[in-house]
Amino acid sequence: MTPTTRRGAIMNLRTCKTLAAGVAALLFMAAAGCTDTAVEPKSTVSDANIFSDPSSYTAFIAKLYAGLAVTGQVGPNGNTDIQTPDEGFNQYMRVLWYSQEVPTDEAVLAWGDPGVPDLNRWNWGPSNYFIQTFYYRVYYQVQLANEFLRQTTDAKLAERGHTDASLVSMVHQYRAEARFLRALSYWHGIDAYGDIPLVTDAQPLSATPPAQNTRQGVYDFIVSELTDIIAGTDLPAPGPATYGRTNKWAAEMVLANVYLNAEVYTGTPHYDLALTAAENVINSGAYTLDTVVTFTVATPNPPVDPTNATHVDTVHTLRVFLADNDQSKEMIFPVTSDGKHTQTWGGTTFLIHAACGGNWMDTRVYGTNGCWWGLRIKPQTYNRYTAGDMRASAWIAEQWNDSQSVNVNSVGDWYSGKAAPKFYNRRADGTPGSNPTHPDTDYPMFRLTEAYLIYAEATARGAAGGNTGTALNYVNAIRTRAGLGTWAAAPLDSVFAERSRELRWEGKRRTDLIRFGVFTGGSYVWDWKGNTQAGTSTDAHYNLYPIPSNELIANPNMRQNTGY
Amino acid sequence: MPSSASIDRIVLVPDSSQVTNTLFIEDYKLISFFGRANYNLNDRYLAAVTLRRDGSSRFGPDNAWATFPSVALAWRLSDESFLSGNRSWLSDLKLRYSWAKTGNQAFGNYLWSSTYTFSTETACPQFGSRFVCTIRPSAVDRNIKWETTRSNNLGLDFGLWNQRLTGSFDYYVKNTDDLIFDVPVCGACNLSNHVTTNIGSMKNNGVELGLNYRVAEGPHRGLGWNVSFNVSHNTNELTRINPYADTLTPTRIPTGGISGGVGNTVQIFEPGAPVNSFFLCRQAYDNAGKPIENTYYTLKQNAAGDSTTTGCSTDRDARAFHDPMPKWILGFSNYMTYGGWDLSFTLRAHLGNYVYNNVASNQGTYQAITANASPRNMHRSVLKTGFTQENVLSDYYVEDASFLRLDNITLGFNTQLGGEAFRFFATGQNLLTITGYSGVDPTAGINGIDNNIYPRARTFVTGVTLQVR
Repeated sequence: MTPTTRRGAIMNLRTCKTLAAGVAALLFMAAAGCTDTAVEPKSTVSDANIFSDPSSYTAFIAKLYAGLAVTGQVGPNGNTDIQTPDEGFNQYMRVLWYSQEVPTDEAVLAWGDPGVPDLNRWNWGPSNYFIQTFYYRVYYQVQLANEFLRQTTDAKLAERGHTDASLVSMVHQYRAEARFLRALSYWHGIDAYGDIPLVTDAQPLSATPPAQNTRQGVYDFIVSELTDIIAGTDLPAPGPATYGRTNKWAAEMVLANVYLNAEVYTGTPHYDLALTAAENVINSGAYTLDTVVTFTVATPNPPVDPTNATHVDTVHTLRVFLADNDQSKEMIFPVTSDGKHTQTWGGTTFLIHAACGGNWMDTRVYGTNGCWWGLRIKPQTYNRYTAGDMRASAWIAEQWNDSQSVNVNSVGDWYSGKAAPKFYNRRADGTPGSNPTHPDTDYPMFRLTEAYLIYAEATARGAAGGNTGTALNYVNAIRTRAGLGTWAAAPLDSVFAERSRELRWEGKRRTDLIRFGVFTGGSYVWDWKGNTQAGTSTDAHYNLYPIPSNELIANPNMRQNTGY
Repeated sequence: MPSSASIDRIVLVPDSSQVTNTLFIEDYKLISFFGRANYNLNDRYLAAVTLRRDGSSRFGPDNAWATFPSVALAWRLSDESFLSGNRSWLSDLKLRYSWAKTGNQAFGNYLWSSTYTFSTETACPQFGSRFVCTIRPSAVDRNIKWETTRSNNLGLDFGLWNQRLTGSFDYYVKNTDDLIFDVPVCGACNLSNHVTTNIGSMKNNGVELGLNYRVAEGPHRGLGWNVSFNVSHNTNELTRINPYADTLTPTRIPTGGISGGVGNTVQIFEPGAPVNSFFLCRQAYDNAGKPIENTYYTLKQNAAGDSTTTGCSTDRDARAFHDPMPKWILGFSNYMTYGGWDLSFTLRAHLGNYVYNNVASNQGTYQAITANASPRNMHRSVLKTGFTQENVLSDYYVEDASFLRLDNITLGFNTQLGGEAFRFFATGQNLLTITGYSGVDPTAGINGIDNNIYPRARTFVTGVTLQVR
C-alpha cells in the first residue's frame, strides 16, 4: 500500500462518519413522531367519523335491507358486496330462490351458466357456484347485522353524544330490525346447510374462523332472538309508513316457519308453536287477503298473432304480484325492488324476465323489455292445478303455451315444460312499472296466505290449539279467491298440494318437500330429480346442501356434511 | 314503488348533481427517510450501506413504520497482486455480496381502516314512501402490515481478454414474509368473502448467468458481431401460512379467480408448493385417452389403482400441482454489422411455466350452442373433450406453456445520400413462437390464467432515416 492510498482511505472514512450522523438525525426525526402517515379518505368515510352524523344509523340499517334486495353499492351492478364471478348472480333472493326452487317439482331453469344445470339435475357439489354464493350471502347479512349492533350500543351512542331520546329510541328500533334480519338469514343458513357457525355481535370482528355450531344451536339462537324482539316493543309498527321494513308480524312469520320445520332441524316437532305464531299474524288484523284484480294489456303486432292485429291480454291476478304491491293488503314482509332506486339483476328482475321466452310470448305483457328464456314449470306442478284456477288460467289459457310441452324433456330447451309467469312489472291499473328492465315489483318474502297455510298444516298435523273448522275456512278462503270450489275438509295432503298451488315460485318449495319427507328418496319423483327425465330416487344426503369448498378450506373448524 | 317517492341520503354525501360515484378519489402517503454511505478503497474494496425508514398510510398507526437496511460489499479481485499477473487474459474479476431487507406496500389504499362506502341512488331500498341510500362498511384486516423481503445475493462479475467476454453470475435467496394478497376468507370472518391481508411467507432462490461476447471486433467496415446470452433459474415455495390464532392455521388458501367458474378459484397457497400453484381435480380419461366428462381420479388410490369420483370437490379431490412461474428463462441477443449493414435479433425462452386455459374451460362445451336463447361460439377444445357442460375444475386445462419466441429482428443499411447520413431499416416484432400451448399466447395469462386477452400483434416496420440540412 502506498502512502497516497492510505490518505485517500482516511478521507473516505471521515465522509462516511458525516453521512452516518446525517442518517441518525433523519431517523431521529422519524422516531420523534414529527411525521404523520394518516390520510383522510375523500370518497369514503372512515368508521371513526361516519357516525358523527346521526342519519348514518338510518343509512346503515338500510344497508341490511339492501343486502337482501341488491348486490352492492351501485345498482344494478358495479360495486359488489361479495366477490363472485358474476355480480348479477349473487343477489340474495336470487341464490335463495335457486336453492329453493330449481331442484324441485316447481321449476326448471334452462340456462347453462355454471352451476345451474347441476341444480336442475341434482349434480350439485361443494363447488357449486350458487351453493357457495348463498352461503356467503347468508353470512354477509349476519356480519352486517353484527357490525350494526356493535356500532350502535347505548355506550357507543353516549360516547358520540347521541343521547337525544328520540334518536336513541330510533336506534333501538333499528337494532331490533338488525336482529330480525340476522335471525332470518340464520334460518336460511340452517335450512340449507345444517350445522353452521354461530357468530354474534358479542364477538369482535376477527379474522379467526369461528367454530362450527350445530343446527340445534343456531336454531335455539334464532328462536330466542325472535321471541325476544317479538316480546319487546322496539320493532316498527306495520303500515304504509314502515313498508319495506320488518315488524312484529314479519318476525312471527319467521318464527312460524322455524317452528314448522323444527322436527327437520332438531328432531323435535313444534307444530303447536308454529300454529300459535301463524295465528298471531292472522289475528293481528294488520293484513287481509287482496282481491283479484283484472286489467287488460293491448299489444300491437304481437308475435303470437300472424295477422298482426292488436292483441288484448286480460290479466287476472293479485296485487301482491304486481308493480304496486307495496299497496298489497296481504304483504307481510317484502324485499323491495324499484325501477329507479332499487335495481338488481336478481329478485323480481330475474323472476319476471326469466319466466318469459320463446318466439310467441310477448315481453310487453309483463311490463318488461326482454325475455330471458329460462323458467318453466314441471308437469307435476302443472298438473296440480285444475281447470278454473285463477292462479293458473292466466298462463295456461294463453295461445303461446300450446307450443310448450308439458313434460320437461330437456332442461335446456325453453319449449320443454309449460311457461308459467307469476309476477308482473305492471300496476293493478295495468300501467307498466317505472323501468322495463328493473321492475318495481317487490318480492313477497312472507304474505298472509302463507300464515293461513301454516295454520292449516299445523292443524292437520294435530297441533294443540288447532281448530279444524278455522283451518278449513282459511284454506277455503284461498281457494275461493282463486275461483275454485270449497272443501269440506282439509287433510294434510290436500293442504300440502294447496300450498304448492298458492306459493309456487315464492322460494319455499325445497323446505316444504323436505318437511313432508319427499325431497329425497323415491316416494315422490319429478322430472329431472336424480338426473333422469322421468325422475328417480335420490340419496338422503341431498336434504342438506354441502358446506362450500372454499369455506372448508378457509375455516379449518368446518367439516363437510355427510355424503358430500 | 310508492306513488310519490323521495330519496333519503345522509348529509355527508354531496348532492348527486355535483358528485357521482364514478368520481372516486383515493389518496395515500408514503414518507421515507433515507441514508446511504459508500466506501471505496482504490476501486478494490467497495462497500455501501443504506438505511431507510418508511411510513405508509396503507397500514395502521401501529404498523405504518418499518426500517429497511441493506449492506453491499464488493472486492475487485483482478486488482489484487496475486491476480494482476494474469492481466493478459483476466481483465476483470469482482466478487459481490449483498444483504437487504425491503418492504412492499404497493397494494390498495385504506387497507387497515374500515371505511364506509355510499351507495348510488340506484341501490336504495324502500322505507315507507322513501328510498334510503345506504352506507357499507369495508372488509379490512386492521392488523395488516408491510410485506418484507430479506434477500441475500452472492455474485461474481468477470471480464476476459480485455473485456471481450464479460459476464456475471448471481446466486440469491429471498425470503418474503407477510405476503399481501386479496384472498377468500371464511364466511363469518369479515365483512365480505374476500380480504386483503398478510397471508404467509415464501422463499425464492435461484441463479442467474449473463454473458456478453464480442465474436468479431469489427474493424472499420469489417464484420462486427456481438452476442449476449442470459439464463436464470428460480425456485419458489410458499413456506408457511400465517396462523389465524395461536392454535389454528389454515392448511391452504384458495386464489386465482376465473371466468365462468363453477368454483371461483383454480389456484392455491399451500406450504411446500410454489405460490399460485394450480389446485384442480385430476381428470379421468377413458382407454382412448379422451377425458371423461365430470369424472376425476380421487387423490387416494385404491389397490386396483386410480378410483374415480363424479364431480370435483376441490377441498377433497384437488391437489397443488404446477405453477405459472417459468423455472428457466433464457435470452439470446445478437448484433452484427458488416459494411453499411447491421442485423440484430432477440430470442427468448421460458421453460416450465404452466397456464390454465380459461378460454377453453369456459367455452369449450357443447351447451354453448344449446343452453341459451342464441348459440354462443364454442372453443375448439370441445372437439377433443366432447364436454357437454363446463368442467372448469379439471386439470385438463392446465397446459405447459413453455415457449421459444423470436421477439424481434432488425435489419438496417447505412449509407450516404447527397453527403448526408441515410439509413434504411426493417423491423419485425413477435415473429415466431414455438410452443405446445394451445391458446393464443403462452404469455397471455395474468398469474397463469389465460382468459380472452387481446392477442399480441405481430408488427412489421420499415423506414428510412435521413438528415436534411
